Amino acid sequence: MELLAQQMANGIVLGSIYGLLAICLVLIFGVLDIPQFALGAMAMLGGYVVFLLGPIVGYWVSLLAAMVAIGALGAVVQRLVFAPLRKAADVTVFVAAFGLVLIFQGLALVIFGPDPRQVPPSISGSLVIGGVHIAYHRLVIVGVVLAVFLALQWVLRSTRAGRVIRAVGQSTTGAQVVGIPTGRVAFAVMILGSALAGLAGGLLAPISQAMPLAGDSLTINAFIVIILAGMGSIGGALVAAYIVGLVESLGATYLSQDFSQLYSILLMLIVLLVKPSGLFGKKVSRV
Amino acid sequence: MRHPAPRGRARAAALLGAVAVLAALVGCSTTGSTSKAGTGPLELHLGVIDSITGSAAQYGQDFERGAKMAIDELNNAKDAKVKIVPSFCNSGGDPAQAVTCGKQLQSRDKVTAVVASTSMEAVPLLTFNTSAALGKFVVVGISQAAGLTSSNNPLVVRYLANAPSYLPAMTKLLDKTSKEQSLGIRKVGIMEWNTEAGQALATNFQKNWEALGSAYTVSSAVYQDGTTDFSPQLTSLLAKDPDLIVISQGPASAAIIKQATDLGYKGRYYVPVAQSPTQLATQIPVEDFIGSVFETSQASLDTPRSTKWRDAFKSKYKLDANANNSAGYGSVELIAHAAIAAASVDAEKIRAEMPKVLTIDAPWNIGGYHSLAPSGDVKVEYGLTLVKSADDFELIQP
Repeated sequence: MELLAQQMANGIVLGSIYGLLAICLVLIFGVLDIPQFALGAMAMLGGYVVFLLGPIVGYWVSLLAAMVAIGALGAVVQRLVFAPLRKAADVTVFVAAFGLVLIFQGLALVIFGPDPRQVPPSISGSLVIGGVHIAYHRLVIVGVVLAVFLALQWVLRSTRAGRVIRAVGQSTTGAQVVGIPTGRVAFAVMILGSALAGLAGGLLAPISQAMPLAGDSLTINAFIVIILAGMGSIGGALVAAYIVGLVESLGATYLSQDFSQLYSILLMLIVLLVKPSGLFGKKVSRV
Repeated sequence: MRHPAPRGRARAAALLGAVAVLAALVGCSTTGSTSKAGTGPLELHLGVIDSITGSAAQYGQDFERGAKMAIDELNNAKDAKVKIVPSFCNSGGDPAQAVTCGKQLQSRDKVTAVVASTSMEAVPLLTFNTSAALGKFVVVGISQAAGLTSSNNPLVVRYLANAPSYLPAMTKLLDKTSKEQSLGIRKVGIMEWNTEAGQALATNFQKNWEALGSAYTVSSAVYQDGTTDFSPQLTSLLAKDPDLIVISQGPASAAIIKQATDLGYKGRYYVPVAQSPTQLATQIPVEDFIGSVFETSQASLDTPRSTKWRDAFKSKYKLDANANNSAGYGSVELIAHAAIAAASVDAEKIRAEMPKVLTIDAPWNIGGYHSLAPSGDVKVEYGLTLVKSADDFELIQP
């Protein structure tokens, strides 16, 4: 029972991290139609920002700095890479996003080297309840991710800016017809998604430590999450992320650890077979 | 729906070009040179294949520093008897890329010897390093796995411990140390890195530890390469209440120790030779691993030879040397001195001289190796370092 509870706690934390990056992907893919593979690598760079600034300005300020820095990087990426490619073939955008991963990882490797760098947690120590240990920092992660999710939901549903983003996400042409500056909206969404990736990296760094490949498994799992959830649903992405986190954590304990990373892929394949639009995706009919 | 536009295409082409150039720069840089005939020093074309990017980058970069130090020393020596012409190639930890590297070094750079930093680079080379048509080259590789020397390849040498060969003595040394210093180690949990090297260490540690008696038990948890959150595996392992957690992947030590501490584990760790206590102390506080034991190569022991070499390394790189640095250094030195002894850069002649060269008690032999089996396995004895406090690391000789 204790083991089950501990693994469920582990799974929820894993799901929170996957969920935050999946939300970024949903936002960017939904509005810009770009499979931003580099978000994991940008999250990794966010971890390095916290590593560099944390000892000087403290964890929380460095986390904000990571959001600002990676948000700015997102702006640069959008202006220099994705905006010029907006009319290019899908495969070109795909390769560009993949190229960014190589560039960011190469930069991190050249600047910081391959050794993992220690990042102290927001709060040291662990909470112990009935033999279940949960590091305070992991609780912080769950709390921050839920707060970000609720804030995003509020912005998207209750503000003019949110309605504009949703309009562009539903139809770029339609949005243009009613006078929405879609280019500026896309630019803002890329900045927002990138800043949240920086947040994810900064939150994860005290667990994984800052290292060049820290974003790889994040990216893969975030894509599994949005495919499992179905495109276009931020709430669905978060729920699917928790499912993936729990499946990974419990599968490693009660099935076989040799295939721990395959369970979520298997689940995704089953869901796609039964419901191709994903767990929370809407069925699309073509005329 | 996107429609290609000429301007977009031009920019896309420029971007792709930039990516390709960058990938080429990161992926493979060579400094090949043509052979010169003459009566001066032997000109030895040496390939260095390592993973300076990817998940094994820490191994590769450490190995390369050691190899470069040896190359510089050999080439700058007064009355140098050998001149090394190195060609470097980054495998990125990908065996397929290692094959590409090997074939390029073989055909373009005409190397007759290659040093390789991990199993991922060394083992794939054995499928073509004995080809007379393509060009033979001797492979000196770093690998824990038995596969490197079990294929009867006549041109291979393992320049590091083979898990099946050193772990019987190592587990006995650990048990002896545990009894003498009342460490109370019986129940062991292994964090098994799901790679050839990780499996070799885990399997052989378990076999030898359980052979010590019925009270000596082992449980294990497997994680995939690239894992950053080890909590699911550690939770399973800690449920068995181990006295010691064996870490099978040096670079993952810091994250594993930190996460196990978060889960309430207060026991000891066993850290493989690739990670020294001083190196780990730059990543996490020493207090997190007090009481832990580290495999320790001869190059890390306090012998005059090793100390002198470590000082020279630190002077060159401003870093404390570890086992992979010494392996890179020793591999190159072994090849060079075998070539000198053979008075030839022919791969077969170099390999034939290696057993004799290793019996010479030379300053370059910092690994303390003294015999080479026909299979290509060097005989190695590791020691242990017990971290007793933040400033007391006790070396325990084999």
